[in-house]
Amino acid sequence: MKKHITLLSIFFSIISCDVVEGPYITDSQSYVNPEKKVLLEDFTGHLCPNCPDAARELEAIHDIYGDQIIGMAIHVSKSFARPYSESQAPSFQYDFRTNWGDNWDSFYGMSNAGLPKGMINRIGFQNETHRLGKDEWAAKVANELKKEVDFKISITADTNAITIFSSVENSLENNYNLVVCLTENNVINWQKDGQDNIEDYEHNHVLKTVIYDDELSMQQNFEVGEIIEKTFQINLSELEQYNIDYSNNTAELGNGNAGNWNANNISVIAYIYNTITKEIVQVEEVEMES
Amino acid sequence: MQKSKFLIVIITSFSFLGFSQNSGEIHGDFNLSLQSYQEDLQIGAQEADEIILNNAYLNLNYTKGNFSTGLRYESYLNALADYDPEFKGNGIAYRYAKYSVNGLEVTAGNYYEQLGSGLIFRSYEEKGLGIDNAMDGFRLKYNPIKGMYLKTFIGKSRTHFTYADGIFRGADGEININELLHYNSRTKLIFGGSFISRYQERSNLVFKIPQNVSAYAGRLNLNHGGWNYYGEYAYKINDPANILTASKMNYASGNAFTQNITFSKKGFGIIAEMHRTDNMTFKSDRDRDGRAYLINYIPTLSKPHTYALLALYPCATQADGEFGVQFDVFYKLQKRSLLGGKYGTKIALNYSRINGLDGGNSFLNDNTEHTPKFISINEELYFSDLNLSINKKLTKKTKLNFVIANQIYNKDFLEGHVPGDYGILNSTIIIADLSYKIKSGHSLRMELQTLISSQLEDYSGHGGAYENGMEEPAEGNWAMGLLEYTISPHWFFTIQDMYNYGNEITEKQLHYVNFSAGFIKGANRFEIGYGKKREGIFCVGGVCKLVPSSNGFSINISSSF
Repeated sequence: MKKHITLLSIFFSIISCDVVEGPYITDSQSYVNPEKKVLLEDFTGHLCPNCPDAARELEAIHDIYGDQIIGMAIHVSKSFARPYSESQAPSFQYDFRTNWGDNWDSFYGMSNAGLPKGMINRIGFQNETHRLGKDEWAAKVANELKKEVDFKISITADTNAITIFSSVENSLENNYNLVVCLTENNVINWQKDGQDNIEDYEHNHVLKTVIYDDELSMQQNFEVGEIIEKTFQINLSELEQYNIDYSNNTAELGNGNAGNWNANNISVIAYIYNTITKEIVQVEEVEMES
Repeated sequence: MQKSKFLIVIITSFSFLGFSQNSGEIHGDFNLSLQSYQEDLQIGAQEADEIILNNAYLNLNYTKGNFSTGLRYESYLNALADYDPEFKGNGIAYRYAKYSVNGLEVTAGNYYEQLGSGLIFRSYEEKGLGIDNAMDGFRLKYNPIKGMYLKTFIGKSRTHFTYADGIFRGADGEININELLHYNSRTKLIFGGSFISRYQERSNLVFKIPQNVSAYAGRLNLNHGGWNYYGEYAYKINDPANILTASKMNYASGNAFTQNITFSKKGFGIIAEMHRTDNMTFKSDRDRDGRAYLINYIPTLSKPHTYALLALYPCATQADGEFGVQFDVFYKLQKRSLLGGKYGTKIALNYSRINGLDGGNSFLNDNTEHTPKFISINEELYFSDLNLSINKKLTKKTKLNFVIANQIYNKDFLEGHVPGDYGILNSTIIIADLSYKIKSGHSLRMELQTLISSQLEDYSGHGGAYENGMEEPAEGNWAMGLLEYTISPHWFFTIQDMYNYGNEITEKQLHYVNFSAGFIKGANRFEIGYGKKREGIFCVGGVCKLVPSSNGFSINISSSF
């Protein structure tokens, strides 16, 4: 009997636990590659009460790492992002959904897994671990920021044209696509937030449109030091109209209320992704000059 | 790799058989579920890209004396729509070897385990929910002397086709006083204690994160004659999420207790239960959300119902915080008594009520501290259910089960909506289930069900466009009918219709019709079906999942040997 109690005591002492006493804030640091940037795609919806917590986590991560973290809020699905009917005006009348957001949602299976969900550089797509709850973001971001970079991106943009310069940092086979999209900040509109309906919620990084999603270059290989330049002519009114038509004609329960973009708040995000793994290897963001 | 392992184990298993027909036994069971998914815009059902989805598994178990080994091969090509999409592909998801000698049982590989009633740890499989958090590692059970039961284990917990990051170390001891002291008495006493610890390496740029998170529980079972008491208390140390949002960091510990008293004698029984949980969500990976990562289990405090409309709005247990009570009374009116009639009558009355904690669950960080009162019943109501069932044999050939219930379901809270979206539903449900034996081997069963729903609270001032000021339209009243014809022992045919005649949106006043037919012969069972399913919440034991609406054919085949 004594022997058993002794054995048990040894076992309990081995598997001790860590009760953490306050203050809970730490001062630890970890390595970050200053050249690496990370895209955090936050799949969300203005009717999703838990989604603002994810947006706050995105902002908290941004506060730590600064502009190395680039956010994109993608409102998706009928359940979480449809506009309310006109009889419920003025609440939830805007249709934040886009053709591209809905396509990504379908391809990556995000809203079906429940929102909020995010992807960090679309890591884990091949083994189905790319759909991340907000509590997983910080650890994944920290890992991504340690990686070496194969590309650097710089952008010049105004309301008529966008030019993307992609410079090659390592010799590579060409398995890469470039995506150029526009997001809008400081959109004041309705949002469900926990127990509340917030009338003047500030929506940031809202995906508005995708201008290009195709090969980075036609060549087979990239050499170190090479710079690939691509310029796109844009017309914001036409892009806006595309979303209005999408909302009217395609999106479930859409109402066409997808315009009123404010050119002063538009940003351009460009990223390069591996076409096989879908991993986003580099990303950049600039505010559009109006 | 997986397939080659599979072959090796199969060959090895059958080699055992081959050596000697008397040297052991092999048993197994098989289940296949196929379903087609067609688009149905009216009910919101989506078409599956694959057209047909499939879940299948085969269990094989070999036993010889005090040694056993086995495996389960699982196939999701691709998984049914109500399963997590992470269940994908084929593989041996479960394999084990086990032997016992002189009171010591050793298990290597996969095993299921539960400590006490599961408050701090439960590894189990529930196919209906798509949950399988089997452990992979070692487990020892030791029975050193009569009346003393010890076990300890180490392992990782399964999530889909992989294992979660956390490593679990657990131990449990139980003492049966009567057995230990060879004391024969009407009073029986068993007490036990358990411990579990999860190790997961994590670093956080801003906050301290505990790497080892442990939980403890103690339990007592006292039995005297027809009386039985079971009580368990559990405590979990701080287990904050690995996030950076300062206001959401929670370093509070968790605790839970559950207790029940039962009394029974012939033809009569009562049960009174109470439980409280606070901050007791325990996961196999601190960063991950979802049922697949839950590693403890809070027993549900409401009656599990099988009738469709009684289970339309089920209660999901809130491990983060709830307080609830439940009472049951069973009584059998004797044969040939005034109320019992010729064949006797069984009556069961059940009441449960579950509400939130005072000011929410415990919370602690550098800026905020909150500890809810231990017992408080005037908090936000989550769920209540008052139901009476009467089971009576009317004639030699006819049986009736009659149920009347009133349920209050806080749809906004339990389904994660904003208050005022759907409100709190107050439903009255009446069910008549009549069985009639036509002749030997032929029987007919009919269910008639109705659910009358209204809003418990008026949100008129809330400004929503729907009834009582709600933001979302109400499903309203339902009716349901079912007819089942059984030709025993081989055939059964069922048709059922759920009709949402009270939906606030006229176009959604739809029929959900389902047909099914089955054939059973020996250990083999075949069933085909066609029909529409409504989107809804499905729960087993208070653990719930969202089932998407669907429209299509289904085939289910099961077999055992």
